[in-house]
Amino acid sequence: MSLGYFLCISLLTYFLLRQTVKKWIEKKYIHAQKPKKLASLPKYYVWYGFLWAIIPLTIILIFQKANAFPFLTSIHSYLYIGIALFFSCIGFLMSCRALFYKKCVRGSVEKIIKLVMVFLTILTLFIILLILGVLLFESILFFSKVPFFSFFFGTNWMPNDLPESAQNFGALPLFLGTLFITIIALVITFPLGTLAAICLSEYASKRVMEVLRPTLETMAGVPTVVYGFFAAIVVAPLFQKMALAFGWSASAQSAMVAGVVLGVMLIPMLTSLYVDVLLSVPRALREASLGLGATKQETILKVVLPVAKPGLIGALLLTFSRAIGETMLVVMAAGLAANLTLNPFSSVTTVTVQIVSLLTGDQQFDSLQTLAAFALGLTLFFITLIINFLAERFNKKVMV
Amino acid sequence: MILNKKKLSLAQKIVKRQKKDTFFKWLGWGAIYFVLLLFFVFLMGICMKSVPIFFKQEVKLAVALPKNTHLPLSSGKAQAIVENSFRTNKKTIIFKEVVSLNAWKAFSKEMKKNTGRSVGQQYNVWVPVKYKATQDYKKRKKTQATLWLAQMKKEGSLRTVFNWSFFSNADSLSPETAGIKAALVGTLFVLLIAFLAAFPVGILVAIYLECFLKKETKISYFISANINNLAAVPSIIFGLLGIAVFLNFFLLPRSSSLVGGLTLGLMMLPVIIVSSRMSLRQVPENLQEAAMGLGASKTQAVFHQVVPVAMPGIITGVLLSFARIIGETAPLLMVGMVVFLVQAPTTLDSPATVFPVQIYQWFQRPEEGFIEASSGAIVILLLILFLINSLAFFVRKRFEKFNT
Repeated sequence: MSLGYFLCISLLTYFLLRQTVKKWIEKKYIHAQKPKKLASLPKYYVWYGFLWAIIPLTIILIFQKANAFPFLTSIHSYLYIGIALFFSCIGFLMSCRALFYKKCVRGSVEKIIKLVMVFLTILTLFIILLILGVLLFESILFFSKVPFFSFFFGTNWMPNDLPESAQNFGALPLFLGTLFITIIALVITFPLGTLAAICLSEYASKRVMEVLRPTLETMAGVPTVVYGFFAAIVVAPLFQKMALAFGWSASAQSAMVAGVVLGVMLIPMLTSLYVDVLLSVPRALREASLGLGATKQETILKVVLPVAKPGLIGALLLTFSRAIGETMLVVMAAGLAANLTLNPFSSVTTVTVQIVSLLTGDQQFDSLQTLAAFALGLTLFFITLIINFLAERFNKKVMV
Repeated sequence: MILNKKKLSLAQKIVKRQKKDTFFKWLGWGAIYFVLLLFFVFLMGICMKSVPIFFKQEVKLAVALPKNTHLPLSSGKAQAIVENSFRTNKKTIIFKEVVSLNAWKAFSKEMKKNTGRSVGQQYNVWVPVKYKATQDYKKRKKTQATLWLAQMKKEGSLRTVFNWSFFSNADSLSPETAGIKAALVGTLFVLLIAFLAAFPVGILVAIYLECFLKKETKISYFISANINNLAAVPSIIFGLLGIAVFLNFFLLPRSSSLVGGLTLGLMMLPVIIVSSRMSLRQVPENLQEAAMGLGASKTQAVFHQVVPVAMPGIITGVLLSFARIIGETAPLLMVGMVVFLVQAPTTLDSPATVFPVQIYQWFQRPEEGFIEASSGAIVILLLILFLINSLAFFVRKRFEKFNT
């Protein structure tokens, strides 16, 4: 049964209940000749009945979508409507019963709402466990076929070669490629981002801040596919020409192009994170330093930055993890060839690129390529998780 | 050196330090201006690239409907008729170089307009010129095609118009008739699904965490840390999750906007929770206390007093999370939304594509002109993003005014 039916039926139930129960209560209890006492407000009776109708329906819908029980999948649509009407009637009867016995319905409704909220919170926590579970499950399948050691330290990455063999899944070039591009990016991002953030938080006037911060946030929100496009169309030919002018051979897709554009892309993000950290340094410290006769530059370098250091490191780590997980830019600018080089003008590949390229074809779900993608995903997940954990640790250390 | 340093008077030292300060300051401003310049170049580069796709040339052809044709025409037949009419004007080779493969669409549109006319009459049809021919013509290259175009220009049967079909067409094999409609509709569907999946859950979880759960306990720290971690998981991991859970476990249709929307909904969820919690926290506590003092239960106080006050902030958060997921590409690539669509999707189950994926697809095509189409789509996407961001900014500003 599709979601549309479900929504229609639940809305219909609600309005029918409102029309009948509420009107009835108003007529018999409130506007009657001798008004009777009500245990709760009329709308709670409506909600009470509605919840009685909607919760079983939702459960049926979820089980049906999950294909948990075959007999639920084959339910005919008319039968489903019948079931829905049946539960609506139950809801109506339950609210009548509550009215008759003068039950305080508000408490039950609030309890159910709270239970729903608890359930949803647990569900949200469940997502990260689900990610972990799925990745682990597939990766265990993968590591049963490819030894652990040859995956992490093998240097030969040719996943599409036939016949499939464990020797073709050495992912070291991918990890080193990722690290290489990330380092190039951070070499560009870090100085520019730091200087810009210091200038914005210490020197810029409030009005400039008001204009520049939303601009920065907007720039940080530009989709990565746009940067990838720019890198491949504009930057790559430029760099190729430059490299040729110096007499180096350069491929169109290179680590340098991806790294540089990734670096530029990360500047707004790093800057806005840094501005937040620097602004959280107490004013009193700055004023004390300035009052002792230090110039602004000395205040920044000797007072503000040391105090903000843990926060700054945390922000840098967050940027680092973002750079590692970056996908589209690298797909479009860095290439697919798994080379183990340190030449920035040669094509390298990264973990994310390989995950995408392994999964965008029409593979079998159980093939070694697909499983390899999940193993790479698990590695990526753990690395970013650890970095984020460290970043959080550093952020907690910030003196306030 | 040491002797030198001693010679400096106090005043000189101060001047030196102040010089250092000024230098540092200008270094900072230099960095900011440099970054802004980089982004300006970046935006201008893409905008310049996209200009040619927004204008296209059209050529007027006199097409005669042969006497014994049966209406309605099939696409192949219509194309043949257009081609035949050209043959009477002699050069057939030019036709393939100049006139777009989808010329029959313009022809059948014209025919629908004039249903009253009888078979055998002539139609004057403006058909789109091939992208390559247009470019050659503009660069004043001398080929057969451009010479013919110049001749047409003299006759007054060549015109340059705004390329409306870029907005009203779905994808196509030739760049002059390709459009973004499929991507637009797909994006709307995906956003709708993601919103429906993530918003109710996100807002309820945020309310529970902020208003009901005891604060500063181990459980609340654990939950917040978990949600923060979820927000920082790379998007590609969500793609893996989408494949494993939605496609292989729930068996939802591959490359549909339903799957894409649910995957992006999962990504949106932590963002919504974090931002909603922030705006719920900013609501003064005495509002809730006052409501409870007047006899409202906690649930009533929260849902009737606190949440409405926090609503603008929550809406801002939702808009910003829209801005974040509208540009997501990798997870959607992985759940198979890379499809060639000649018509916009109509249902949530049918194959769909979204803006960034369309950009990526066009970027990958070898034919000339798709790079420009791709940058045209980027410009539209950036405009949409800008709109969403400024809307969020506006809502936030109003919220601030309301609070003070």
